Amino acid sequence: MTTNPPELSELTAEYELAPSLLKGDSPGREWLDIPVVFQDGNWCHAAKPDVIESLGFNNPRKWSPEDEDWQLEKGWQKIVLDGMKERLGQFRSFKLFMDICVRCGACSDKCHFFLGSGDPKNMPVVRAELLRSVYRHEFTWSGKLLKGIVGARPLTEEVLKEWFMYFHQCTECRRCSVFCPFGIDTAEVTLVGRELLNLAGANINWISKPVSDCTRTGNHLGIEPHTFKSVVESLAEDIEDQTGVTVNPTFNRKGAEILFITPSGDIFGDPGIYTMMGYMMLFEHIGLDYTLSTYASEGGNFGYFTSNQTTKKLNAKMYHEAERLGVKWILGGECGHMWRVVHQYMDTMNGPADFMEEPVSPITGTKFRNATSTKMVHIAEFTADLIHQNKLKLDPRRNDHLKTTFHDSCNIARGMGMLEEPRFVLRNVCNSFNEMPEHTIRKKHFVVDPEAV
Amino acid sequence: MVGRMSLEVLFFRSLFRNTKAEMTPNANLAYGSSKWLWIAGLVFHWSLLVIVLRHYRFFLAAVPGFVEMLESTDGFLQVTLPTLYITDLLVVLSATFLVLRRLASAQMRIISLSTDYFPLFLILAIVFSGISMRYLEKVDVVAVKILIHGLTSFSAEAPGEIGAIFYVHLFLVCVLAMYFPSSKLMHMGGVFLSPTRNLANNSREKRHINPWNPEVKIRTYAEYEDEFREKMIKADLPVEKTE
Repeated sequence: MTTNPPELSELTAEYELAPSLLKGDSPGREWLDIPVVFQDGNWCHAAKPDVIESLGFNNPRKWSPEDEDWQLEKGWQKIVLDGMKERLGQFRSFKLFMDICVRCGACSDKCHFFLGSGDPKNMPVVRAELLRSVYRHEFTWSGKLLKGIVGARPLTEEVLKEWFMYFHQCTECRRCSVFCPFGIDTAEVTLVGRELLNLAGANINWISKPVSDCTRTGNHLGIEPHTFKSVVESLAEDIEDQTGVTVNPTFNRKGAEILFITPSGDIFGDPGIYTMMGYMMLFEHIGLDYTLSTYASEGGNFGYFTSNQTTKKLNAKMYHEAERLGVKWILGGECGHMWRVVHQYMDTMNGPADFMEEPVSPITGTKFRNATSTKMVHIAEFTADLIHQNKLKLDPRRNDHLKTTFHDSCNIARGMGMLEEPRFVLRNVCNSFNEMPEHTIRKKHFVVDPEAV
Repeated sequence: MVGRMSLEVLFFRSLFRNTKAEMTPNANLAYGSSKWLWIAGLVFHWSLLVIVLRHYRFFLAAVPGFVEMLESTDGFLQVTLPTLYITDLLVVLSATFLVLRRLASAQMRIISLSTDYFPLFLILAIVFSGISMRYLEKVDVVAVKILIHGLTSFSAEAPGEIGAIFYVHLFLVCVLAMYFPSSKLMHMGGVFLSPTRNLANNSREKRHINPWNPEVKIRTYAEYEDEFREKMIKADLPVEKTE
C-alpha cells in the first residue's frame, strides 16, 4: 500500500498531460516491449519465508519485488513450464482459452483495472497474452517455428516479473468473460498464472499469510477459538445494549440443525461486525437452530488465490465440521471468494456431502433445490425466501432517511447468477431503491472490492 | 443450454451486449452500447457460410435443392449477369470493415498480432479471386465442375480452358485449409467446447465430477483441537477429548 496516495487533482492533471490508451493515444511500441516497473504503490509485498515454509511451498526466502534479483531457484523455468504443461492437460478451460482468442477486442475496455490505469497490459486480452505468448513459444509448432511473428516469446525472469505484476492486478471478477463471444475467462488464466507463480516461489504475503493462518486456526485472521467466542459474545452484548434483545449464539454445538459459516471479516471490524450482528438478530428473531464453529470459522478462501490444491485444502473444513457436528445443512454468510468456491468448486473438490440433507428452510419449508447436492445456502437466498413467505414483519419507513442502491457482487452475480434476491430484500426494507446506470449493474457490474487479490 | 448456445453461435449473443467505454473531455468515464463488431462479425460469418454452401454445386453431380434455394435468395436483387449474389458484396464489405476496425483504434492495434491480420487478408484474397472468376473473368464453370469431379475421383484430366485465376483461388483455399488447425480459426470448434458457455449454472444442484480429483492433506479437527484444547476448555467451548 503506498504511503503517499495521490490527490484527485494530481491524477486528473496526469491524465490530461500524459499520453494514454484511454484517450486513443498509441504507446508507440508493442506491449511486449513496455518494461515492467515496480514503484511505490503498484506492487504487493512478497510472502515471508516462515509463512512459505509452513505451507510447504517452493523456495522460501526473504525477497522483495523491487529487487533486481528475485533469487529464483535454479531450474525455475523448467518447473514453471512443466507446471503449465500439466495444467494444459488437466483443465479444458485453460487449454481452450490459450487457443481460441481471436483478438476481437470486445473485452479490452471492460476491465476496471484498464479503465482506471490506461495500462495496456490490463486489457483482459493482453493479460491472457502474457501467458499465451509463452504457451505458444513452448507448446505450439507455429510458435516454436515462427516465434515473434505469431506473438510467441520465451519465459524469462522479466516475463515472470510481468506475470507477478499483472496477475495480481486481476481481481478475477470475470466481467471480461461476459462480453467475450467464447466466454474466455481471464480469471481462469489468472488462476493458472498464480499457480505458476506459486511454483516459481513468487507469492505475496497478503495471500499467503491468511492461507497459513487459516490452515492453523480455521480462519484467515489467525483468531484462536477462545478469541472467536469472546468477540462474538461482545457483539451479542452490543446488540443487547442497543435493542434490549438477548441473542444466544452457540459454538461447536453438536446436533444443531444448521451450521452457519461466515467470513472472518464479519467479526473482524467495520462494517463486517454490523453484518454479523444483523445475522445474529435475524436468527434469534426467527428462532433458527444454528451453531457457529471456531474450527470452521472462515467462509472465505484465500487458497483460491493460490492454487486449486490450496482451495481444496482450506475448503475441506466446512464439510468436515458439518459431518462432525451432525448438522442437516450449511448456511453461509456473504463473501465473494467464499461463494465462488462454494458454488462452483466445493461439491466437486470436497464432496459428496452425503451426511447432510437437501436444505429445507425450517421457517418456511422451502426446499432449496438449487443447492441439493452442495447442501449450502446463501444468506440472501434464505432471507429473500423468508420475506417472500411473509415471515418477517418489516417497516421500510424506518429506512426512509437512506437513499439506497445496489452494487452487485461479482461472484454472486456473475458467478452464481443471483441477481434478484438481494434486490428483492432491499426493495422490501427500503422505500427508496435506485438502480445504477444500465451498463454497470447485474452481469455488467464492476467488481465491488478490489483487494490486491 | 441449447438455447443459449444457439443464440451464441447463430446470433453472437455476447457481442450484442457489447459496450464501449470512452473518456469524456472532463475525464469522466462513459459507457454506451456498441454493436458494430456484432453486426460486422455476424454478416461476415453468415455470408461466408452461405458462400461455402453454394459451392456444393461443384461437388455433387446433381445440384442439390438447398443450393438452388440459396442462390435464388442470394440473387434476389436480380441485377448483372451472372446474377449478383448479395453475400459476395456483404462479405467484402464486412471483411473490409473488420480490417479497418483493427487498424483504426490504438487499443485494437496494440492487441492485434500478425495472425489476426493474416486470415482476414487471406480470406479477402480468396473472396476477390472468387469474385473475379464469377463476374470479371467469367470462367467456364462446367469445365471447373469436371475438374473438381476428376479430383474427387482421383482421375483428373488435364485442365481445359480454365484460367489461372481458378488455380489462384484453389491454392489460396488450400493455404487456408493448412493454416486452419494451427491458428485462431479453431474458434470454429472452440466456441462449442467453451465450458463457460456450454455448462449450465447448476453446480450446487448436480455434482460435477472431476476424474482426477487429487487427494489433499487437510488439517483435521482433531489436530486443531490438540493445539487449542486448553484454551477451548477455559473458554467453555465443547471439546471431543477432555485431556
